[in-house]
Amino acid sequence: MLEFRVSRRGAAVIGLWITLICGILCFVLRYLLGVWAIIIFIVCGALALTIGTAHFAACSVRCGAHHITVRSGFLLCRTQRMPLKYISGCVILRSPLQRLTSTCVLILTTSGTLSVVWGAPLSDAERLSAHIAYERGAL
Amino acid sequence: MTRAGKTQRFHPVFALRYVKYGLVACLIPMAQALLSWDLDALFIALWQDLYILIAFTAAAAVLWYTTSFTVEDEAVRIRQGVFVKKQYLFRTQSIAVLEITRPFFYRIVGASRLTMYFKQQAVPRKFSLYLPKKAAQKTADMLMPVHTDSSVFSPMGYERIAFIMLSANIVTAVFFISMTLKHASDILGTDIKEVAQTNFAYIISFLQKFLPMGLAAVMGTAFVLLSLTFLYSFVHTAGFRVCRNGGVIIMRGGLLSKTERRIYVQSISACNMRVTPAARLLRRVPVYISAGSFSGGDMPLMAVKHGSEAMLEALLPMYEAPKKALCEPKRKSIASYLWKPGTIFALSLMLLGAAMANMPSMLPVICVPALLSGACMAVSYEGYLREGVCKNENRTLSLVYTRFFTRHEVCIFTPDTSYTIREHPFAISGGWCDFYVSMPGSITLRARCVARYVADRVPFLI
Repeated sequence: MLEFRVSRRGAAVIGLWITLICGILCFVLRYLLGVWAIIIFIVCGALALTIGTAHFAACSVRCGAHHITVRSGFLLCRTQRMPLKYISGCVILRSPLQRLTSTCVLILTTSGTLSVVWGAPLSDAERLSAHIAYERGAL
Repeated sequence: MTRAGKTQRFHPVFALRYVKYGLVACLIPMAQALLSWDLDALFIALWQDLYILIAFTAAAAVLWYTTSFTVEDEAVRIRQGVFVKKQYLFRTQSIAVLEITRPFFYRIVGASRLTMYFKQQAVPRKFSLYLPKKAAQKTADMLMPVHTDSSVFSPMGYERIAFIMLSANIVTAVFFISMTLKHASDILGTDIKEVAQTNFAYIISFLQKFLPMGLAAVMGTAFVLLSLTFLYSFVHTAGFRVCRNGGVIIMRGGLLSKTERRIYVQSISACNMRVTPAARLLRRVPVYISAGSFSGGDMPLMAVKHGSEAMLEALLPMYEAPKKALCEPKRKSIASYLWKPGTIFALSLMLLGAAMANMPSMLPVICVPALLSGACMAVSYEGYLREGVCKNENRTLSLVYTRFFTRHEVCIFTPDTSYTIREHPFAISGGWCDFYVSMPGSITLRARCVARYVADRVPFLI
């Protein structure tokens, strides 16, 4: 059995991404929004770095003998169960900031859905990826 | 080792798709000419349109010339592209559904469209080949061979009328009929819309003799839409029959536009019995099937009478109706079912109250949304009593859910499913959740207010 949680650092990086996206949007729309652009940016940034980070940090992955369970969220909870046999892809994405913090974005796909683990620890994501590959007899 | 077949080109009708884009591009110079409102500008725009059409026709011809396909022993190979060459290789084993469609225009020029739907989500999820009629049939026979077929379902008499009514889809019908009217107006050069509006005004004036003015307009619109829908359904399902040949289900039908579907039984993901208001009246349920990226299409597989599911089991031996209740209504939250239709119903009642006091003449018209939202609320209440999920004895999964006026009874066959549970604080305190089942082709079904311990224990069908 393999089990891990999203680290605080990984979740904070995702919170920072959201803040940056919000900042870009506010910068683009600064003439339309006026002074509201700064207010919206500050509010959204604060929410992303507090509640957003806590939301992403409340994610855990558990890989059993036959299926993977991904739990996420602390207020609006979401639990995904996917059979190990039918996982069609496992993608690990890393941005420069995530390389510094040893975290990544882990994407698990089946033929009908996909599950995204934001800010997963890199070592755990690689272990899970290898486990899926061995379990399916690919390696 | 695979043996390569003869490389073939598509039917020239394939190029016409790209010429259509040219016609759209021609609108830009014409719009400029209209804005300047000048005869010289109009002549320049017409010349520009001519150049655009020539350029698009030449590009379409080059694309047609460079596109070819080969049917091998175990695969179909398609080559496309002028500067960037693309090559698709689809294994025949990955095909879930083959669809041969021959719209009226294609039949005139002797062409067919052969669409392949694949078992698992891939890019692309489906692929169409534009072929001459005989080549399409031959290719279909090579990809999904069918030797003999004996009819299992071919509706006649009352069954035929019931099937027409059950397969009627107002959205699809109105879309196709409006497209047909547009094309007919272009070809005949007369404004058919004006003729239709004149006739519609006659219907309204006739209904006004029996009904108040507002209600006559509503009833007239409903009458016209339903007539068009049934007409479309009648033409679309003419000569419809379903056969089974070994591991393949074959559906054929259509009068002007002919459609043939071949579905591998082993690739069927689920069958969906849609209990619509028409189905309740006729006591027959239309059955739709999904297989891989094919999500049911516009035609049901068959209409099943209550208590005679043996016909369905002859086609789908894995089908099993749930033998027990799928939920415990006492453990559910009625608010999560009734808040949406209930809000609309309450607003309609408020409008009704206001109309009674101030505008009694508008009362019949305002009754219509109140009745519709009331019916929607009744179906939602039925969902409260029946919505749920359970595993059957034959390793299939039964799921019942309601949407608008329809109750969906789904039997899931594929083991390639994944489950999602969504909860909010009220759901956590009540011990229930929303349960989603995802199947190949990105088809997701939702059952509301499933007990949390049941959702955790729903097994995989491996």
